[in-house]
Amino acid sequence: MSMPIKNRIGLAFLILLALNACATTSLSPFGKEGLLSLEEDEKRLWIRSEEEQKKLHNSGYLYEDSALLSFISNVTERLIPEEIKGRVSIQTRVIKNPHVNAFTFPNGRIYIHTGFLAKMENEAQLATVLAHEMTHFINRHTIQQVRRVRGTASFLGTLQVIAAPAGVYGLAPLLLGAVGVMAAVSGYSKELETEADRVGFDLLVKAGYDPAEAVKLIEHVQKHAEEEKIEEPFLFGSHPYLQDRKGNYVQLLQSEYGGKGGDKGAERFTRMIHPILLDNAAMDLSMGRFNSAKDAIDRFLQNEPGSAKGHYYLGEFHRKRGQESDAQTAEKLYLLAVQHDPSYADPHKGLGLLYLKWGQKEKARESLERYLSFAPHAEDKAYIEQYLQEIANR
Amino acid sequence: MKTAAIVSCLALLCGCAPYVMVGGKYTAGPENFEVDLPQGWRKHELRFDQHPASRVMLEELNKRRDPAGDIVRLTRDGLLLQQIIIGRTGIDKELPHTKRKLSKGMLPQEVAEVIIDNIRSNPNISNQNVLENSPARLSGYTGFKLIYSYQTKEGLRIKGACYGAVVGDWYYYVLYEAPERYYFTKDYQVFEQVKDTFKILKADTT
Repeated sequence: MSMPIKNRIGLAFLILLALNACATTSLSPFGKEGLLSLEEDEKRLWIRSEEEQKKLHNSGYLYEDSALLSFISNVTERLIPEEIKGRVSIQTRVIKNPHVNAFTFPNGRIYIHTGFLAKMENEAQLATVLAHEMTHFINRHTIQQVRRVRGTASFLGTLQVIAAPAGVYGLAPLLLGAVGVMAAVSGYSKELETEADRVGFDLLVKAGYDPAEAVKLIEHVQKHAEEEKIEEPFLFGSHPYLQDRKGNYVQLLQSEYGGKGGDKGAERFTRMIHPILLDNAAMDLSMGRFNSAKDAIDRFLQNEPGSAKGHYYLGEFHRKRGQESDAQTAEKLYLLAVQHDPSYADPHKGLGLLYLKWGQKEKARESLERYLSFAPHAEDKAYIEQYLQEIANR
Repeated sequence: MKTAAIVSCLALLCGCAPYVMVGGKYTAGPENFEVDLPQGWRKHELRFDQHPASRVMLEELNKRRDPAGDIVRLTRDGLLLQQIIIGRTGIDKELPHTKRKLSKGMLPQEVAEVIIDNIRSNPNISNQNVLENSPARLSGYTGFKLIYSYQTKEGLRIKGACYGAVVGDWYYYVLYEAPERYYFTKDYQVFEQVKDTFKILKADTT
């Protein structure tokens, strides 16, 4: 029988504490004076991290798109400081999750949610997040955090109040243990987060990216959360966390990095992120996060105005939101989708459902039959057949 | 605390217990339905259940699913082991976890989507899976049937079955939840029989 997640998290933290034999909390970053070796407790932390990552990789929640992963890998590589380039392995993977978040394991494995990527506008913004996360690894923040809180009452208190997000898009399905929870939810001390901002900012500028984009990203995520009244359950989406990042970035921009321009990489980023937009919008739509979904669909259609899939999802947005005249707009969009690709099944279903509601039986029958002819093994075949049966009986 | 004590005393004085043996026809006139309740099962009377241990149990159960619309809650061996729930909720009322809303004229598939998202968005449970989502009839009205499972924070896997339909301004449901191992299968047929006898009295009760 599997152990409950709360117990697993607690046990893993206790293991982390027990493993912790060294008293020194201050550690040199990897690469400084050639340093690349691990201390004993750190080695065990890495082993623990690898175990958690295995579970995560088997969870089915990773977004596997080789072109996108290769692009993110190139951005990651561009940020790695010269002194450790080729000597450490830093890898970034994408998680299918509509919430805004990114986190790093102590062994240099960075994870970023599709929901965060969908909110970004360019490569410089992606680089901002990767540089911040990368600094947590290079500067060995996880082991420092574990040592710092060892045996303190406040640490145990922190454990009690960690609100590990559950639900389908929470942590539990990712099967993250203690290390993952700390990275994704509870975060590091304010001092270590500030260090990640400062060092990360430096990596960003050295890699030639425009640092002004860092502030824009935070403002964009904040605006989105406020508009839709979203309470993001993860660290990177939480208001106080974002506020701290913004404060630090503004200060850095006004002081040592004032006037620095650089590469934004908007076109490259838009091209690479394109497929994620609709996939993430579908998750947002199923959760009723309509503004977020609409924003992503609009961006998708800007880049691919002739996309049947894009028009279908915009139609879905209107049909599901169900405000005044939404149904009429949905019909137009479904028809446009059919025009772009007559053999694409889904818009025929959308039309069929609308006509069924409007009592236009013949048009509903035609559209629903067309849907089933293009998608004979559709998951919702039983519903459609029932609707067709009802139409026939009326 | 004082109120709870008074209610408990009154309940004892009146001979009211938190569980009442049931069996046979049950009519909920104000709630517009009738149903045959199974012999040997007990109906839980929330208002008489003031025992501190029950409070803890009910709080736990209420985290798993919102009981706001529940009208009849039945069990044979205890609410943690199996429960059949019959209820209804106004379609204008927001569901506790999803941002999506029910509305009049929704097709059964659309209603099912909202109910599924409400289960999936519940932060108190995890590993939610929808095992079946199919069209079904409830009291002769077109609706849906869901079979789903999830895990409680304590790690217990729960399996549920829910028949639902929007009729007029109300969403009606007959639901069954039990631990996935052993208990779900044990009383599933009883639940199906209860569902088959469920009858909405008037089509439109707006």
